[in-house]
Amino acid sequence: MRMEELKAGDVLLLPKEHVEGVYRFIEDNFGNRVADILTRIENHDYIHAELYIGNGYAIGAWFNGVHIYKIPVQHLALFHVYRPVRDIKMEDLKKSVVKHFNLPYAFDQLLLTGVIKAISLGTEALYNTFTSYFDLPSTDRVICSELVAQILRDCGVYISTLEPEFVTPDNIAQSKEFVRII
Amino acid sequence: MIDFADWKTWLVILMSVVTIIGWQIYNQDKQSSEVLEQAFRDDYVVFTVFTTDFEEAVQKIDKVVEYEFVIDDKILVGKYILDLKNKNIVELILGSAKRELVLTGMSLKEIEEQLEKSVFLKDYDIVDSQFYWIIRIKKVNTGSEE
Repeated sequence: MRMEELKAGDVLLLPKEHVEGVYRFIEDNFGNRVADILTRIENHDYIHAELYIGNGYAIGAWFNGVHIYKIPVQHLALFHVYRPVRDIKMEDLKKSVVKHFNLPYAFDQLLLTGVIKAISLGTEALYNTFTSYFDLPSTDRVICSELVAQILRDCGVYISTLEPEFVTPDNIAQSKEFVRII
Repeated sequence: MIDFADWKTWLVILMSVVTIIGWQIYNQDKQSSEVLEQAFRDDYVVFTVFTTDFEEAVQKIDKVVEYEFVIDDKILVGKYILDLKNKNIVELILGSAKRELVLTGMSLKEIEEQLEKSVFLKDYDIVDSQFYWIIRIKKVNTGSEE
């Protein structure tokens, strides 16, 4: 993967299989049953999302806040790259990145999304129904895929009918607004 | 094996989760706005070239865009001779599947010294196809934008 193949606005998604060590750790320490339950609840292909903003830099929401960092090529090789089908204006992207830069991580949001996922038992329709009950204000804290969804929405790309708070990395991969390029 | 029937196990799990989240909230880092400027500056271009040959890297870069790229000296790194006297190189990253050596904010002389004393290339298998250069170049001739 060459850095110059990336375009500002490309979404970097981290596939679950690239961190399968986490599942093995859970299996070893908590047993098959817990690992199986978690796998069933977390019925996702991707576990993390970041956004490429140009010049070799990406923005991502990590546990210690929203950060911009220079992507090492080794790091890049772990991700799948999804490109928005619409053109993104650099001005809009920059404005939104500046707005979200250094926001704290939303642990409560992560837990809430996780709980809704768990009680939906992997059913998309049920998940959408539950999320429609939560009218969350635009927060000053974000999780990884929410950050990507909010920035792209500011640039005119709507990932799904879900509010950005409930967008998961898989929603991005399944959206018709993107094509996978790598 | 962990006993999930024991309430103390759940207490430990709960306390651990609360501690980890609390610690993370306490440790929310604020980055300097300098990184924003770096990310959005438009007078630099970045190239990644997967090759052990720096000259080949330069040739590939020249094919991509027409920026001035002047080579006038030589540097000896282990068994490998590098030509990298481009005044416009503002950052040079030598990378492999295992690690990266980032040389930035240095004069060419300092880059030379770093490369010469670096263990990076000395214990690195130069045949490894995973080897790459990332070269950040200051734009000179902006007449031919990519």
